[in-house]
Amino acid sequence: MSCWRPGLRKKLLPYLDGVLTPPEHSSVEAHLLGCVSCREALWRIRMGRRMAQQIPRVSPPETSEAAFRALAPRVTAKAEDRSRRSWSWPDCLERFATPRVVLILAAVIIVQLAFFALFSRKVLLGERSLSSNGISYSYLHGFRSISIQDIRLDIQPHIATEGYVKDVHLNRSEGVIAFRLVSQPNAMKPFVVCEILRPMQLTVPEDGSHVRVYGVSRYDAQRNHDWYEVNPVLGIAQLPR
Amino acid sequence: MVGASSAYRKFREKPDPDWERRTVLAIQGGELEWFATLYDAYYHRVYNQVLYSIGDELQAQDLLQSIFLKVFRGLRYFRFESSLSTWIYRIARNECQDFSRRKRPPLVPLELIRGRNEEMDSRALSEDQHAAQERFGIIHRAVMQLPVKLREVVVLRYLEDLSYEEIANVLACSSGTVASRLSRALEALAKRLCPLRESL
Ligand SMILES: [Zn+2]
Repeated sequence: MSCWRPGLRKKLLPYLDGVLTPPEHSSVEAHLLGCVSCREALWRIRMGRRMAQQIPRVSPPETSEAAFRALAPRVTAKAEDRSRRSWSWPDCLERFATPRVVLILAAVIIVQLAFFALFSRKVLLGERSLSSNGISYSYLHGFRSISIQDIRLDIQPHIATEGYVKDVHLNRSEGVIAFRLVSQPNAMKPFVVCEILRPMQLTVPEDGSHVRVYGVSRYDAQRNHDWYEVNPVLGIAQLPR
Repeated sequence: MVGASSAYRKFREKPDPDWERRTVLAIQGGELEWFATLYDAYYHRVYNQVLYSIGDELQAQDLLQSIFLKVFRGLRYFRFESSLSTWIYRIARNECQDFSRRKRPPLVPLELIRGRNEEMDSRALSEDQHAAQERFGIIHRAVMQLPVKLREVVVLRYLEDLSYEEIANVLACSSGTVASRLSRALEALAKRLCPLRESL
């Protein structure tokens, strides 16, 4: 016997799973009373579902620890690769590294460094890193500078933004230190909330200080939070007032 | 079977969103050791997804490693637009598709239901266990005989515990499509497994 409402067929499983809206549920139920073909289909689906719930899980041949040990060197190699960026020395170039080539390259690098020192005095002289225990922030290169109000337009998460520190406080429930960063010393807006997940590794800035914050930008959509965050903060550099 | 039951428990517990968020933030913050935790949480799940997709144990293991490398590489750009698990399943699914296109491997239905690390002497199995093992074998083969499009929805729904919406997210299709594929898959399973139904 054939069904006169074939469109209902695909609702039989959601009907069994109880995920239909009440009107859909009643219309499927009413149809089932009169349609043998759908009742049979429902029976098969119910049977199939009972079997599917018993699909055996297969254990991988290796434990997760062993498999991760095999993967870990590739993961850390990738991470180091990224932090070294263009400074990495591909193996294939190694045989070209004759003394003469190295000498020329060294000269080029010295000239570039001289230019860098001349044109980015702000970086070399104006900033004092707040890193308290000698952690290297070399991996912070490549963060895009962006103003506080433009963070909302941002599509790439790794940013550096500058402003004045306000309301440094410890969020006890989450164990993080948070502060607001505002663009002008006495302004309330625009602001971005900065969260330091690992206070042990960063010196917490003082209220009112002028800083550049490096970190991952994101929108916080939690209840009562309708703002952008730099979370986690990965580095803080002190700027002149 | 202590190992198996702990693996089972690990598998059943769906990582909660709060945990996922903290783990991702830690990894994005440079704490690579957290990647081991994330790997551990998804290892069994993704392995089963891949195995049921391509049907070959050794290749599944290889593919798993390249999936997790992609996960690791992509994590720095991950911005919680979908749940972490949906995102990982999507990467795994795409890798399986690429793999099938590249290799077109012969479909080898798995006979081994228990993993090698849990294998035991079959003489030690009770009659009930023998029956259960046989039943599992039959269900496993029936699933492997489904077309891949139907198989993947069944595995994501009943093995990985994903909702219709989550599956739709992984497969980039509508929830309606998920529901209709699932119904077709279940009807096909029922037809194939009719002889078994007394014992189910
Ligand atoms: Zn009907």
